[in-house]
Amino acid sequence: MKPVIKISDVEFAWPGRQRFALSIPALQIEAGERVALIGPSGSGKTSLINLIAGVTLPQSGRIEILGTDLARLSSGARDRFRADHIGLIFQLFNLLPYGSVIENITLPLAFSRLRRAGASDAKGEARRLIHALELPEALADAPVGSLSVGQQQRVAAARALIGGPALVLADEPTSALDATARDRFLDLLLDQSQRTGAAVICVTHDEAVAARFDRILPLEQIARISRGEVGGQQSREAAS
Amino acid sequence: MSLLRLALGSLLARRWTVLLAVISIAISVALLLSVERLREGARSSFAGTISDTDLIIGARTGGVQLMLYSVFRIGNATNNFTWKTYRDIASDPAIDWIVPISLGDSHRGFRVVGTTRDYFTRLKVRGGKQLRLAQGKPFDDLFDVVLGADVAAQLGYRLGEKIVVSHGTGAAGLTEHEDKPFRVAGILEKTGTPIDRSLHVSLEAIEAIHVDWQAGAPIPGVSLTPDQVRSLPLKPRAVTAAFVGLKSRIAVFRVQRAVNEYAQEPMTAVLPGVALQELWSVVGVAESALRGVSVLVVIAALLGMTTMLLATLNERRREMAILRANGARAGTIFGLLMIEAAAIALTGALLGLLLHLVAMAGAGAWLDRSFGLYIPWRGVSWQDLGLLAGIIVAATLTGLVPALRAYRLSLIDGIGARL
Repeated sequence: MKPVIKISDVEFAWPGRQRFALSIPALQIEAGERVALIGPSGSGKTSLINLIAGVTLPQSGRIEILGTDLARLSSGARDRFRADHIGLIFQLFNLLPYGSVIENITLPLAFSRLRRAGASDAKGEARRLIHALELPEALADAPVGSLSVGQQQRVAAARALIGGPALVLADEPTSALDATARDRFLDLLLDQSQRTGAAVICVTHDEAVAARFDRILPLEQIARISRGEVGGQQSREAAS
Repeated sequence: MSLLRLALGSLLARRWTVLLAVISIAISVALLLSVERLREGARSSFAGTISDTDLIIGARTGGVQLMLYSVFRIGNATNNFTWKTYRDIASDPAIDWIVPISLGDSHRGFRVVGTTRDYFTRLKVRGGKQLRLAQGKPFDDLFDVVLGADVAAQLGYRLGEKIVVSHGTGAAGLTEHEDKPFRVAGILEKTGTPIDRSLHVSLEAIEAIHVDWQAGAPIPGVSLTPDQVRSLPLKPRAVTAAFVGLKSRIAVFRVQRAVNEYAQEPMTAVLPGVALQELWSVVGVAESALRGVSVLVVIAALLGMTTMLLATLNERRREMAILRANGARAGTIFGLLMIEAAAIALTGALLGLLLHLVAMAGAGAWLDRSFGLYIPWRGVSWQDLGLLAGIIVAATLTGLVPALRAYRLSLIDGIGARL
């Protein structure tokens, strides 16, 4: 089986911010692997997530997701690729406030034929996930505004998992939750990803979260970050 | 969720701002449709001021001028023509009927028209509608008067009431023919034409009230009572204009030429249709201005909608990032914004149409009563639908601006827009 992620010799710098650069010589994540990516805030974790999701492209090097080189895809094809293969969970504000719980969970199915095929009975699959993620079933048709933050994150997890994408990217998904809610959320997320066979990459700065994963990757070990400490301030100002 | 459901859901979540945009489009659409309808109504009311009359003749003057004083009762005739000329022209065998009018007197701001009883049967308005008496009958006695509907309504006159006619047509300072009062014999039904604002007496009556006058003033020391006047031979000396109906329309140009070339007196004959057209080209400028203004109002409403969509884009970056993170392409975001603009415009246009229909149904009678603007209920015309379609297309086109902006923002932000 092909690795889910294979990164080689990637160099990335935000346009207009020459001093901040991220370079990753090599990184490989296998199918179904559950990885915690840890590092202090501002260490480039989100940049890495954006690169893996194909939202931004590296200046050089190669990022392959499921054997596909993202840089070789057009921007529209990258969007379609992301819709097909990647589920995303953010720290907060994951949901469309005007949709119901079910509508939010089934949102990715609107954009991906592959994931529609993976959840042929969309509502049934959504209800299964609602049940599996221990959300009250009465909430299925409720507007998401009435949910607690913990419940909202579970809805986001259900949405990332529906249709069985090969990769779930979670960016600090538990940082707004208390310890009990956090543990339960991780249990359920890891449980369900095992069921669908999705690899999970979770960005966190929390050691307790990282400890729950198969593999812990401190960002400073896999990546070199140049920040341009000397004179960085001036050059940023000059650039702006 | 389908794209449509997403767009509508998002609009509904912002229902108050969206509602304002919808209302402003609705008002502008209703205004435009109503102005179009009024234009049309004004034009047909105008064209219906006189109907089934082949020629109007008067002393030598311009066609528009003759039309203005004979039909619209605006301004004064420069000259009358003699009764002998009238008789000569009336004797043309091509003429089926002829109705003379004699102007120059007034009653409290309303014109007094001296005419014959044929006036009530021969003159037609609005595509051949006959004049009808709401009360009473045409004048019979020398001092009978038949009132137009507005005269009776505004001055509150009833049948049998005595009224006094003034010499001249100004508003004040006129000499009254107070020694010879008239009796209201009949009141005409409303026609929506200047006839409503006229008082009608016989040509003999016009002679009678001026018999003891000379050069526009009473002859000092000579005053005849009504009874004395009745015994006099009252033959009209001059008339102001005449309406002519021909036996066959084919003769119209020949008769017109005959009148224009009448040797004993300089005369003018005009075809009412042609003169109305000429007059409308003058009045029509106002109508075009009105239309221009209502088109501008529609443009302002569309710009308002665009501004609203643009201004809320910033608050919606999170929403777009969520959509993008879940697989929506930047093109999808573009499509969403276009659907939003189209949905707002469609709702606004339909609401505006409804508003317009309600206004027309409600105001139709009032417009007729107050302004003599007769606008029959017509429902929705193809032209209205064309206007609506045009507005919706224009709105969708202006929707391109926020849609392109959202497209660019979503490319820049990707899934990473932070709040």
